[in-house]
Amino acid sequence: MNELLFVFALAIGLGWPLGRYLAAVMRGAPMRVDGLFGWVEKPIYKLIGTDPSRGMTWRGYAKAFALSNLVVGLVVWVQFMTQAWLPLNPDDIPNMRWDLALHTMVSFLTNTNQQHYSGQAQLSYLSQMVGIVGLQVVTPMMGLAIVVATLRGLFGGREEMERAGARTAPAGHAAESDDRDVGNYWADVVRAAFRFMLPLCLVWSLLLTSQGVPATLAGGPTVAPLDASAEMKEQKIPLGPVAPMVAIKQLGTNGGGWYGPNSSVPLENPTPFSNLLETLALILIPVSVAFMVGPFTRRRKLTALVFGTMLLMSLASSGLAIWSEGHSATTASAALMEGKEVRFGADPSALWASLTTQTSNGSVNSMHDSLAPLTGMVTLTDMLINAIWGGVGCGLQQFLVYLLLGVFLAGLMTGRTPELFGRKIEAAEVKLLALLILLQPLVVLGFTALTLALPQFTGNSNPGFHGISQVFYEYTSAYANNGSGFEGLGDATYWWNLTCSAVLALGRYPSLIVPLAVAGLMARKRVAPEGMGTLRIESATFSLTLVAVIVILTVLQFMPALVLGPIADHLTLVAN
Amino acid sequence: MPGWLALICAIAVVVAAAYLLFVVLYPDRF
Repeated sequence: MNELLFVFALAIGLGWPLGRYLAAVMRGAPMRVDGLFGWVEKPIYKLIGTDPSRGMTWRGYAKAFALSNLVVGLVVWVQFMTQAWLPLNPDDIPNMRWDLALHTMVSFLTNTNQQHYSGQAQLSYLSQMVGIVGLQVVTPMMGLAIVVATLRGLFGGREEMERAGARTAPAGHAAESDDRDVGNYWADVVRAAFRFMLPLCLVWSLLLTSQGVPATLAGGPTVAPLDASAEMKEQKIPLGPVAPMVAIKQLGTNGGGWYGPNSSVPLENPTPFSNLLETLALILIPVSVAFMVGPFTRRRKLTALVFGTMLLMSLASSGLAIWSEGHSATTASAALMEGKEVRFGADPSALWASLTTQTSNGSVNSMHDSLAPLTGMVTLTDMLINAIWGGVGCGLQQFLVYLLLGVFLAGLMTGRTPELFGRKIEAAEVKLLALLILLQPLVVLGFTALTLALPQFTGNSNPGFHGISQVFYEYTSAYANNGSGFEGLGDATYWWNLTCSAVLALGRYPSLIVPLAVAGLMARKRVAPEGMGTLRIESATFSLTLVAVIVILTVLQFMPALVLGPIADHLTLVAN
Repeated sequence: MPGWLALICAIAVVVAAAYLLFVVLYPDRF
């Protein structure tokens, strides 16, 4: 429990100033440090052919997002399939098969980092440094860009939001009109990447290197194994520029490690201090984004709603995971000791497991397949909600979906016209949001049922209730763009690679674009001045209502699957 | 790693650390 308090204290202490700074970066206004970053940003704008001060409508913004994903995705897919012929391949890693390369590309393009490969054995240094790390840097910034555009839309567009801040009270449009300017996608991504993400990554890389995480371009050494009973004459120690990748995989809610077993490998996470750094990095930027909301929108109290609600859910989830892993009835079960991580102990493992699923990160410092069943249920629930902190940008985006639906439902319950920030939520917006909410069970449960009905494709290591959890977890993780796995699945097959690629894309793009479209629709609406009858969303009552809406809309839809998987698993262990 | 690359990395990290320290201490001066 001490680890939990320490990590949260650090995350809040650093997240508050970082969030205020991030708000200044994302507002796009001139900054004192423009000269420091201009020399690298301006050539990029010239290369893309964009004027960073020129705004886009929500449609233009969404098209730019789609185009950037398409181009970057194709380049990386080809790179993985041709890596054997490219430089920086000292260990002679072969080309990746097309379906595995496709899954890996989609997985990293969607900020998921679900891995059906072992990085140290199947990716060259160039693939890791350019393909993997490149996507790990840019995809969280794409998510962040989409959510700031959505916020601009919800407040009537960029100009209106800035005007409202200058005059302290929002002013109405003269009339409903065309699509509003929600910002420049390219400028948002570039500014966030260079002014926010890269400085953090550089510092985190150095701190991790100081703890012994490898950072070299030389090939790994071949040594005699210490364990004579291993029946090996020699062993290859895989090295590489690991520390920079670990920094960005932790900070950018990415999760894909250099090594297959991720941060449970001592080379990727050697000391208690490196474990603290990596645990803190899991939530640092998501917490910063929550602190960004108020200063960015010039509505300071909004931070209290977003941060307070997320913190409440996060503490409940983390506390339950730590209790389940270290203090519940199944804690001492011998069946759970297979694959159990004992280097850091139960509490830090449970804390990491809960935070990595709250933040859509997906990195691990212990194998989730070996978690107590109820801890597994906590991680599943975190991913189903996907907005406790959520991924960089996409977590807040999902939170805005719940906020819109919460306001709509609260409006219906109290007999008031549902309005958010003075703009009515009407049938068109609610239909879009309802489709998004229904897509999740359709995709996750549909693929889970299909896979369980076709055991020849599943490659499942466990036929019991735990086997249901394994399959359910894989698709839940893919849809939530989390990337962690229960493992125990033979998942480097055509079936898993292709179905998971589809689920990854369905979990990423509609979840980002639909709320942006809703914000684009709402931006054009006339603003009603706030009065006595306006629903006060920045209050403890509404925050608790929002938590209830999230539980009802998300968790209850999946209750039968949770009962068949982790709950039945837990009851079986207790009975035995 | 070549010496020149290590030097560039070292300068980048020192600048980044100083920049972030300023951000954390004075977040509203941007």
